[in-house]
Amino acid sequence: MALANRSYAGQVLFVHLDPFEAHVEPLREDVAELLLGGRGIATWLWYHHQPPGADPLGPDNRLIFGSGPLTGTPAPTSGRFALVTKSPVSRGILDSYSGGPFGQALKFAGYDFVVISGCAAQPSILVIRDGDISLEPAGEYWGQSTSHTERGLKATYGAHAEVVSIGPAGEWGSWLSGVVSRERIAARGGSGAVMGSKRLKAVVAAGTGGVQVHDPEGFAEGLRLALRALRMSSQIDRMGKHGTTNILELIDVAGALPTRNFQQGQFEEADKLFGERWRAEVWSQDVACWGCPIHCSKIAKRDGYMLDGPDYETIYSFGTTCGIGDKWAIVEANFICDEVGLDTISAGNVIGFVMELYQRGYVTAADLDGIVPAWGDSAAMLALLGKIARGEGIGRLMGLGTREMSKHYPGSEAFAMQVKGLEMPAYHPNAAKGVGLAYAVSERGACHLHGAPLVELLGGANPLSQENKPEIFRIHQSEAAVIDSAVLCFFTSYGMTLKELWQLLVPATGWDYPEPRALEHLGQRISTLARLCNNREGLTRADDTLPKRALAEPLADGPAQGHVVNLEPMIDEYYRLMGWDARGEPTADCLRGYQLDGLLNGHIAR
Amino acid sequence: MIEVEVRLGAALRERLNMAGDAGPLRVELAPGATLPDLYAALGIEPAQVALCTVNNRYPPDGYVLQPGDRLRLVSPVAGG
Repeated sequence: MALANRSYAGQVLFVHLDPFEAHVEPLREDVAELLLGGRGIATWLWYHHQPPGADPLGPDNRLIFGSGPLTGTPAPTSGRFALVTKSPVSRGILDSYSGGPFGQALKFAGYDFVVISGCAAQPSILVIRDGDISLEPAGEYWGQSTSHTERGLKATYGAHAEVVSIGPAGEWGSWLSGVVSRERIAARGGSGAVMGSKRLKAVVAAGTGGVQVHDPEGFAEGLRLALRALRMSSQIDRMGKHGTTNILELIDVAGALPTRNFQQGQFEEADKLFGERWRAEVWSQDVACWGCPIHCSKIAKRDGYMLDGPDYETIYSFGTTCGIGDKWAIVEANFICDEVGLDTISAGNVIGFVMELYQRGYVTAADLDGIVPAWGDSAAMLALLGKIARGEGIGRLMGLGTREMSKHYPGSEAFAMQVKGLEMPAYHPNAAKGVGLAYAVSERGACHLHGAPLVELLGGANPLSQENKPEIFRIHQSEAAVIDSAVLCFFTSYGMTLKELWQLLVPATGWDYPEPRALEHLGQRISTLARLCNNREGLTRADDTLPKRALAEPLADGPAQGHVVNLEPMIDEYYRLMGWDARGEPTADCLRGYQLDGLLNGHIAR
Repeated sequence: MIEVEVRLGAALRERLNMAGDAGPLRVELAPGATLPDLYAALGIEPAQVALCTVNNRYPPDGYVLQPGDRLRLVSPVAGG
């Protein structure tokens, strides 16, 4: 238990669902030092334990939940968990994160990670209570909403128990489904479908242990500095007041606000969706994830009900990209997604895609169970969302995402706004070229969190220029990999730099990271390891691309009017900066430089 | 003198203690004025402006403001 005084539990729990078996292995110290935690270590566990080429919806796919070294400490935003598995969407590695102190409960039970394999014979719930590991029948919970499931299981296992669960969307196998905890969701990439394929309704964790930092005095000072950095950030202050959607105005002015399935970059009703309008007309309360001083989340009250959110991404997905400015319709869509366990970004994006299919005559109302999906029609949007939620009629196909859907309508792949099958978030790549690169090369598909080069929209660089964008993206990607491995929230980066994070991580772990820049190198190591995972699963440079709308269809309006993304030169430069060859495969020198050669013990995919 | 129309983003209005959105400001400037001149007239530090568009386009460096130009100024924000 050498890691026990370095902020780790020091153990990994392995669970096979059928036949049920559980055992514990120590967490390797060299792995912890080189990959930190969360995303880094879970990616390494996945690489070692996942059979190459495994069916993402079959028994061999590993579903890994875990935490980071700051989980369970008072570090800001540490009440989160990480998830790694193979995505049914991209068929490559998927990492996803959520607020909700499930990682903390797992760690207090004695495990930094739980690696789940197999498929249960019947709908089940995995229960982890310290050393007591059991598989219980899901019973009446199968088919129920995530909030009902969580409330019920907490009533059974105690208030200190934390729950992750899937809703009906994960049960029927929607690739848009995620894993929910406390109305937060590890949303992207279809992890809910993976959990559903294992007939695993929920995982409950409860523990009586704690976390011991390596240098308590140093950690207390690091904590003081981190909290001060967050407190002094005017950007974070505004996000606390007006939610994440306070960014919508800037994105609209930049012409990067995806509108009507990315046919436009500005929305004529954007004014209705600014943060101030939400604050004045809809939100009545701020809420925060466990241990978070930012409190970006908001509560809307209507008819006696308290409804969560929505955040900026959801306002884009059910709002602007569907041509909708009706705030309460977006609130309702967000609520449905939380309850059934759907990724709001992908669900809204696929509805926008269907609206364009209808606009261009690819489908009629008869193909859509009688629904007429006109732009701006919030009733049609909600009706289509209901179809996805229930896996009913056209929802069965929509629930697999835009890439799968476009295969049924030849020609429509040009405007299926996805990469590696994952639907794009709320930034138009034609109006922010670094975002285009990020979408193209991120391991899990179109992602704004694996290195969100939003700095180009915040005055740090010309968003329409491609100059230096690979380097800007590389730096942000490294920071994001470290934050995801510490399992903190990305939003801390609006106040904390790598220096503040380093001032927390070094006293917490005692690792010999000589300066903050060492974390940048660590982040690149993790990104390279994730690249190896995808290479092994057969993903190549050809998968690092964008849809035709971004590459060859000039944007119609706004400051980026006429712009497309000239992607290949940026990819060439990005690979070179990472030490990968022209095919996007890490070279032997690169692996040695990142100390991955020893860590992989010869299991390097070549 | 020339007159330009300026719409300030919400965060910028807040920093300048301007309550609510009273609509675009009309600002008079000397002919030949550039963006730094406009910022000075409004009492804005350049670092407070993350994004500026003129007539829904990004202005080139050294852009000389023209009568009737419509500007949007937005300060750094966080979210996503």
